Amino acid sequence: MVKQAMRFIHTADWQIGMKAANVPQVADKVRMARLEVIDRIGRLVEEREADFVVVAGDVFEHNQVGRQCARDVLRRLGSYPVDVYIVPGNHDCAGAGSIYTTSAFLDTPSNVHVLIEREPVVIERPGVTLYPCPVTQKRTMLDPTDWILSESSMNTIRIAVAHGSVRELGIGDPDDNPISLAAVASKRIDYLALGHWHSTMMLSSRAYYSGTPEQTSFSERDSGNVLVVSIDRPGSEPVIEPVRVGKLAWVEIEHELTGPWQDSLGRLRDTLDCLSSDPSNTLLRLRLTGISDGETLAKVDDLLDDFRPAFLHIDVNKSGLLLDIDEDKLSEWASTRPLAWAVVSDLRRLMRQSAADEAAAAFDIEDAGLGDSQVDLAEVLENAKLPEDEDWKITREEVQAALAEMLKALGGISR
Amino acid sequence: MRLLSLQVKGVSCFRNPIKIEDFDPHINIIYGPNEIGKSTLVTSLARAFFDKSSSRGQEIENLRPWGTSLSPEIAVEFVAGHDKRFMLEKGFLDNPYTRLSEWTGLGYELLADGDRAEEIVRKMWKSSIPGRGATKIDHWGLARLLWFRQEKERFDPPRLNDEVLLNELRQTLDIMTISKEEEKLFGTLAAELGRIVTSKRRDFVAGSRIAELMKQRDEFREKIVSLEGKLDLVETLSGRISQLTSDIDERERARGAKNAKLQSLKGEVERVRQLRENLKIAESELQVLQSRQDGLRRDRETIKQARALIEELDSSIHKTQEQLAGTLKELQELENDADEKEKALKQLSERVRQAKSDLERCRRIRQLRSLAKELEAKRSLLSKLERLSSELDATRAELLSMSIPTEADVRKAERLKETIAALEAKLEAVGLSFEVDAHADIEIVFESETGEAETRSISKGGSESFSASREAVLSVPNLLTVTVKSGSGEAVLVQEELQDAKDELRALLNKYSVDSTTDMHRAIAAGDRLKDKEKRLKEEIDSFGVTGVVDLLAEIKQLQSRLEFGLSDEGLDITGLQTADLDDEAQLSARLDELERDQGCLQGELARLRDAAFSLKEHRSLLSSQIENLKDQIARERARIHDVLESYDRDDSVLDQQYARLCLDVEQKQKAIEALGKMLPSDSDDPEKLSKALEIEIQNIDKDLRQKQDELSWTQGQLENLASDDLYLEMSRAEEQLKITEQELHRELVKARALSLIMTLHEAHRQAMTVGLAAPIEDRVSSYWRFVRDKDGVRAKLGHDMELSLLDAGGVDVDRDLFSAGAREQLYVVVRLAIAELLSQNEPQIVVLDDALVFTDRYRHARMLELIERLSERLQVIILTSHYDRFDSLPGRRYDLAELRYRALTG
Repeated sequence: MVKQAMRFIHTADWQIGMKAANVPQVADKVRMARLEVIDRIGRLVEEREADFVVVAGDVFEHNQVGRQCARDVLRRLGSYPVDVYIVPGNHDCAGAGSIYTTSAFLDTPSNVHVLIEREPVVIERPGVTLYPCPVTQKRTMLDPTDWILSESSMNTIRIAVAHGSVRELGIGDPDDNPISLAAVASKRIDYLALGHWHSTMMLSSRAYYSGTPEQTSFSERDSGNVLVVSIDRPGSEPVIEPVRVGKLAWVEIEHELTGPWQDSLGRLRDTLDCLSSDPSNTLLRLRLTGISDGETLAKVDDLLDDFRPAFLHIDVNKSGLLLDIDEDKLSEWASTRPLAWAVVSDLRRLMRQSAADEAAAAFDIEDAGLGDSQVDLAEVLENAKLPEDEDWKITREEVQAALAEMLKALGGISR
Repeated sequence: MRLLSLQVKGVSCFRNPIKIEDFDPHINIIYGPNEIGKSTLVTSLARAFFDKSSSRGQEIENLRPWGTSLSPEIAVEFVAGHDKRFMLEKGFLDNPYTRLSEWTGLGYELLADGDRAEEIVRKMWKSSIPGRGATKIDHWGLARLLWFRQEKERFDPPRLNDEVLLNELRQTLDIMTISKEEEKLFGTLAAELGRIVTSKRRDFVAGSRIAELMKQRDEFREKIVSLEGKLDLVETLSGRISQLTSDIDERERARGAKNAKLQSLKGEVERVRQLRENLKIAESELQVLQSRQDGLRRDRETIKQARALIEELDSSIHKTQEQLAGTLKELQELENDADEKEKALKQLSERVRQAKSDLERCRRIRQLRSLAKELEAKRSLLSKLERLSSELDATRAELLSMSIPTEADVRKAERLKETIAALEAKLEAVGLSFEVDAHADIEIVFESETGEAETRSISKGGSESFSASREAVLSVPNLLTVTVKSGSGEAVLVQEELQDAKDELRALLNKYSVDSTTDMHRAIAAGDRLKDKEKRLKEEIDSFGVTGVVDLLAEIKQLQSRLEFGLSDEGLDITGLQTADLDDEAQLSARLDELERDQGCLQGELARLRDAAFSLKEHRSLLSSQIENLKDQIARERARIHDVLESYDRDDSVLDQQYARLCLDVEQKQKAIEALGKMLPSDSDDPEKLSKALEIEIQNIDKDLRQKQDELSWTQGQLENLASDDLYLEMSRAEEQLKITEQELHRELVKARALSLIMTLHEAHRQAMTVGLAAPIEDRVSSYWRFVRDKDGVRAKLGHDMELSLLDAGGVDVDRDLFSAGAREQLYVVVRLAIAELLSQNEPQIVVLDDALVFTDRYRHARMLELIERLSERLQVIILTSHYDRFDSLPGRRYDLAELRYRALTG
């Protein structure tokens, strides 16, 4: 590719060392993936022949992520063929205790520049002046871009690098390092490289959030990107190219179990098969809904167990599932055994009464033969409390678990 | 089930085989003395039905007859399950076997043996076997309740919350039963729950997954808190480092500024120091001059003062000498006056002495006269006293000589007199009584059987009465003698009594030498009069107030002696005493008083004169001494003046000149010092002070800087230590692990709650099912109990755990602990009978009562027997007893165990 315009990589919110409490089982892998994306960005720099890289804040998740972590980042950045300009964000803010003032940054590679002062930085080639707006306080109502003066001369491409919430977006708290887009625009800034929000977002033709290069949670819509920004000359419109560099896929799906269990499970299998071309880097949150009997549910668990090794992580939420015991083996067995039947009947009553997020059970519990319980259910619930259960309220999940346990025990005694 | 026969061999006391056969289907009584083996039969029955033949242990070993190597063998014939007849044969110890045979009609055919046979029998009884060893009563199924053994549990209420029993009752009463599969299912779930929580759900089982997860969770939470603390500390330390750095910079700037200022002040300091030095020297010189000036001034002053003083002293001496002369003159006059007064006093004292002597003499003579008078009076008193004493002695003597009857004796005499009169009357009535009327003057002699002859003279026309008891002789001398005899024995007695009375009266009268009771009264009256006289004399003697004649004599002697001495002193005799010439004592006393007053006055005057003279003498000495002192003082002052002028050529003018020169020098020096002072800077502008202040400030800054730098180093070190720990990563990992733990804990808790819910529902429903059983048992127990006790109102009640209580008519719990042993055994037999009766609705039941009612009274025993007989329609009751007679009223079969054993022994 023949390079003509000035070109740089705009990225931000690397969140190196972040917690992954939403996927704790694979937290270390998630953290490693965030380090590895730095290398992919470096390869992109070479491919696109970028002149430099700008990281608009939150390289690190916290100022105390540890020196080993900082050294790892610096080592990877040191292998870049171009200079890297880092501006502290709210997570790794400059000031007292900043990671950038620790011993890890005493021996920074020569191509890595941490911009902790609010003063312009001239990059001779390719004729760019950076206006870094380092965050010095996690929370402030002051606009970090206030210090930038307007300039009328056109002899340099003016790039502001800031981290915070753009006021015009209307999201974020008032003390979240608010940035006025209009104010920046009035100062003849050719491009405002923003960081803070993790999804790639265009605010104007000259202002973008690059988003995080590696997705950080299930709720992000368009993250895992960096922006390749090309500007011909001072004053010209930047050309922005989002490039996906993220490896991990965070997928959230809902699946309804309906119909015969064979069909239901088959559909689920198909869904999972087609979900991702790279399941080993896919984190899946699966929400099951519908009505199912205990046996089917057990088969669902078996099926998911089959897929678990292939996926990086599978998290199953069964709170939307309803257990149907009308056709259940347990019901059939209990129907001729008065004591067991009395217990099963009461569990079904409790299912209706239990606090649940979903609507009440879909099956009809007014069947003949059920009638009212022979025991005081409130007293039973009170007596069933376990240690430290003073404020316990029965949940649908627990009632369903009770039926499942009875079914399992029945299976055990039948063998 | 019904027993048909029982045979035991080689079991305890039954060495030889013994068979009890043809059991009655209803009531059987096995009787015999103690230790005959009744309870052994019950034990044998139990071992046969419930124990494995292969069982070992001491209890099985105890079946072997002592001292033998016999192996126990038991055979039981019984009917069970729809009248099927079986024979169960069992051997233990060295010869274990089990055979169950069924009657085919022609004979017994083996149905099963070994474990299979035992299992069939266990099913019949709903019994179970322990893991090892012999069975206990809790394994005996239905027999646990239906057999009342001679063991200590006889006084414990039968336990009814037994699932085997309850299920059997449910089946019998056609109430829902709990199937084995249900038991198994819930048993599995209970076991699962038991691995998670302790009984009553109080705690999670130590070592359970939940407990471990909770522990892990708590550990992770603690770790997170600790790490958060460290992170906070890092932030704090970072902030502190920043602050310290800023402070250090600021302090160093301040230090620099102060140092510069200090340098600039150095020159000024030197100049001011030199000025001060010069000033000091000048001041020192001035001091010397002033010191000399003071010395000269003092000398001049000394001389001036001394001269003034000498003048003053001279004047004082003159005045004092004048005073001294006056004092001497006054003293002389006083001494003359005192001498004259002394002479007058001497004369007056002599006159006083004489007057005293006269007065005393007058008094002494008067005293002696009084004494004589007193002596005379005492003598008169003595004479009177002697007379009265004598009279008193005579009266007392007379009293002593009188024999005065006592009141008692007088009353006795009166009674005797009355008795005699009565006896005489009686004798007259029963004895011989004679009335003699005299037609002429006669003398008649009466003699009774007492032998006393009594002669009486009777005038013509007079009459006399005589009485005798048996015999009397009346005779007129020389005329006739009439002897009368009586045959009355009573008269004799009366006569004797009369004579006794008369004799006694006579003796009493003789005691006091009187003839009659009237005389006795007189004697008493005379005695009384003498006593009155004695009393009167004594009172008169006491009124003199004298203790006695002897004492009075002593007093008189003493007075006599005093009088004699007194007279001797005065040189008088008793006549001279009365005639002596005495002046008026009052006058003498008055005169003496007057003289003494004069003497007193004169003495007073003389004392005053002497005191005054003494004072004047002292004053004289004082004045002389003062004059001498003044002269000494003048001499000293003169010497002082001489000493001072010695340094000035003994010339006042030399001193004056030197003083004037010195004053001039001092003035000049003061002016020089003033000039120097004006050249020095003020205190506030003193460069040396300013420099010192600056130096102190710089030192303080240095100290502060050192402290801050030390703190900075330390803080940086702390931060370095903490920062090296990858705290954030560690905390992230801890939070992630916590999340994993909480997720797993949630799953485990859901499962645990599910199991708990299932088991709680299960317990609640099981209890509800059990409640349905309670009513028929309560009804029967209540009915039987009321019958046995013959009392209405009491009702049995089974609680939720089938525990038995009795309620009285008011619904109040009756405390069974207050029951007697008899009442308790009756109640527990009643409960067993009630259960047996219920169960027998399906098939007959065997009830064994081994010495069951030993404490029961006769009445209630009869009631119990009546109840047993009534219930035996569907029950087979086996009664074992040592008291044959107590069960007389029952029908059924009887077995004399002693007889059976004997027969077994003798073949």
